Amino acid sequence: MIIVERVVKLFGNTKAVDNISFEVKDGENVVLLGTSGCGKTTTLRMINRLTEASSGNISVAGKNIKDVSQEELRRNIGYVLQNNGLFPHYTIAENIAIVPELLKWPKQKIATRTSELLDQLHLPQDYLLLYPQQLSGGQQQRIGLARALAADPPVLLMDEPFGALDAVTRASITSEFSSLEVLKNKTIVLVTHDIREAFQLGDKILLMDKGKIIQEGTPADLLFNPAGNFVTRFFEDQRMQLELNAVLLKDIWPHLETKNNHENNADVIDQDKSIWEALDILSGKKQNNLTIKNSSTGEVKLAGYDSLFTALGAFKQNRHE
Amino acid sequence: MIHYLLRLAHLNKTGMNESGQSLFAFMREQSGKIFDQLLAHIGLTFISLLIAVVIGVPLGIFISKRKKFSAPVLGFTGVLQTIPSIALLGFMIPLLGIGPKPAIVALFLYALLPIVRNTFTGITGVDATVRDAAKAMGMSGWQVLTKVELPLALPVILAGIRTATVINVGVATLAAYIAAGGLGEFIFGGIALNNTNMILAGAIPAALLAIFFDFILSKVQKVNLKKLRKAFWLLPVSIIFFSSFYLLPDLYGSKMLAGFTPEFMGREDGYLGLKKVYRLNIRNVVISDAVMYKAAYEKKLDVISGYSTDGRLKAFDLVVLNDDKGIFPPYYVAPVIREEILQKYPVLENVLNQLTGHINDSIMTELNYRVDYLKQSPEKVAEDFLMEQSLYKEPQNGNGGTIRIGSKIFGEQYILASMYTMLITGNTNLQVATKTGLGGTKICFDALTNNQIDMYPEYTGTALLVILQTPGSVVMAMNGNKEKVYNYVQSRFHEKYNLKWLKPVGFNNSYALMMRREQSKRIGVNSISDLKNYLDKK
Repeated sequence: MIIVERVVKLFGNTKAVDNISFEVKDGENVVLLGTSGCGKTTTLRMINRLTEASSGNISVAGKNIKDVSQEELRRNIGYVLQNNGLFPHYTIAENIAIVPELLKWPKQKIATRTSELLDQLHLPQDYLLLYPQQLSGGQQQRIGLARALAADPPVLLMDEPFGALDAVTRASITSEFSSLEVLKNKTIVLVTHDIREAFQLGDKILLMDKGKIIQEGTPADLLFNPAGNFVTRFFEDQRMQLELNAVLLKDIWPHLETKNNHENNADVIDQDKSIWEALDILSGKKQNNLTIKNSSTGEVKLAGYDSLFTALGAFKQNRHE
Repeated sequence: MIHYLLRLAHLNKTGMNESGQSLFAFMREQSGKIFDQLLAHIGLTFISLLIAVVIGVPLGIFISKRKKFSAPVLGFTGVLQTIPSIALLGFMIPLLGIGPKPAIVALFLYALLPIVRNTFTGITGVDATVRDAAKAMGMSGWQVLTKVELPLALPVILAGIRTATVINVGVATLAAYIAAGGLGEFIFGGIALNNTNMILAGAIPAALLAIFFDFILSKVQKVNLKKLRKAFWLLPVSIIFFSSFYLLPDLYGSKMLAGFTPEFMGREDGYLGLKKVYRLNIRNVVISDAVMYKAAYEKKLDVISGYSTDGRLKAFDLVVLNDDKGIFPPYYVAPVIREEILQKYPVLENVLNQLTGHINDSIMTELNYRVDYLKQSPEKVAEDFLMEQSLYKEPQNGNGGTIRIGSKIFGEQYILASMYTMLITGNTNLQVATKTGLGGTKICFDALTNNQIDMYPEYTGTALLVILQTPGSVVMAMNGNKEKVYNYVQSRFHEKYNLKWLKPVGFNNSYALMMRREQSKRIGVNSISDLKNYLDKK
């Protein structure tokens, strides 16, 4: 658990971060979203004291970070940087082993852990003896993540982790990240300026502007209950796609018709998936309908393009009332 | 280095009389000496480099962490770099005396800038993201430095050490000026003695040494980052290894110590003659004329090879030891003039000969003292003296042609050139253009034969031995007789070069051994034979 209370950061007379407070629960993925210069990276760096807060308190796992030595604090917090920051003079194996070495793990344990991480991140073992510059940008970024995860820290800070990648690599690596098993129980604070990435990876989004948090909430909260014009404008360009991504099938469940005579040949999709994913299957399979399943009750419903959009419309109507 | 090589090219082009020996034969004959000098050279280079690395790298690290100190530190080391090498060596004498100590300190100061600057640049140039990552992983400041910053800055630091090494190999040649040895002994000896083989025997190994170390270090720099981490420890080890080539010779023992110029060391009428004729065996070091007298005065040296009319003789209260076996040939000065000019302006001969008989050894010493030590201008000293002797006349400011007078680059020659200028402008309607400060015998003489100047004051001994390279047997036959020597050079110059020797001025500025007056009195040594007996007794 990370608690940030009334934190201010001054650079000279400029307030980079202006009196912000928020909490990140254990296992929660929180995204700091905003344009360049809004203070999101500074906020992130204050959590592992790469930047010292001018005032306010931050605590990680119940301890005020000022009461722990910088080195000890950082060894227990994974950190992933935009430009990966891998050491060019270390092999991949040595890069991943940095924190375990600092923690003086036995050699054998380090070797086991390193190769285990490569497996978990779907990287081949023969990378271990290569140098970072021999890998592609996407691969380097994955090594950066492996390095951050090496000592299995409970907390992970990620500063624009996919920012330096091209659009295609970025989209594929983002979706891969969201499904990675190793990240499942981590408490993650991620900084990004990419709205889609934020929606895809964040349980909770903190939208920042000029050093302040403008709105805090789930993707759907931000879309359907914007806390003012800034928030509305921020999402304007991609609203339709974001809505389809943000609204899950279970959200529109009540608005879907129950059909008992379901088609046997239709694909089945879980109600925890988003409308976007349902549409994706429909367009790929050239089918008219698919079966949506409530895995807890075993109930199923049948839906096609029309019924999905009608249900979304009804859902939005409800939220505004 | 380039300076010496240019000088060499100049010497070769003019093709003076060389003893017929080939360079290869000379180097083989002197191989022992070359080897000793080479080791001393390598040692000097690397001891100073070692100190510079030990101090420079931490200093560079410090200013990369405390940026406000970077400007003053880099500025200061930069200023050190701009001090001319000879001047820097000169500054060291009063502080550290002569020998290897001041040479090493001077070389160290020169090596400092490239090492400090490159360390600073290398560390500040490390990718900020990588440094950030290192901190974020939980490395301490020391770990960030040793595991990340230094290894990544190493190629740049090595480049600095490489620059410093090459600079040091070059500057270490100058160490020969202050009795620290090295290949400079041959280079400066060769220049002074007009011996191309000797210059090359010093310059070629020095150049090869610079190229060799540059090459080796360029290889080390290219080794990949991984191996470099090991090379990092190899480097200090090899520097220490090379430093050990130079075991500091003990210069301050109980016995007397002599300091001789590189030129004196190689001459028959110098150290070679002392050994042959007097069987004098004295511990000696090679040192520049510029610092030798002061070193004797400060008791760093006991016996030095000087010139008998040098002003510093008086300034530092030294006495000349009597050359009782006559090994130093006479060095009577006389104007040497192109015969063409004399035919064109016959009046010159009488005008220039007016000086004859007015200056003896002690008067010349006094005049030199006023210039070298009291810092009066040579023109002022010349004018005062001519007035005193009633030889001075107001310049006629005529326009009957121009006489170009040259001189070598020391006080006595400046004074004589000024006197001749005043005599010519006062007694004739000719004008004078002076070209003073021509590097040495070689340069003066070449200027004269190549019609760049019309006359300059030359010494009979120099003409006999350096310019004419007269064989030893002929020199011995003259037995140091001043008339015989004068007549010989006069006739040879006329036949060979169409140059005329006018009448000698009268003083003899020959080589001489000298000691502090106080010491000479105390131990009762007045001649070179006395010195030999004194040394043998001990």
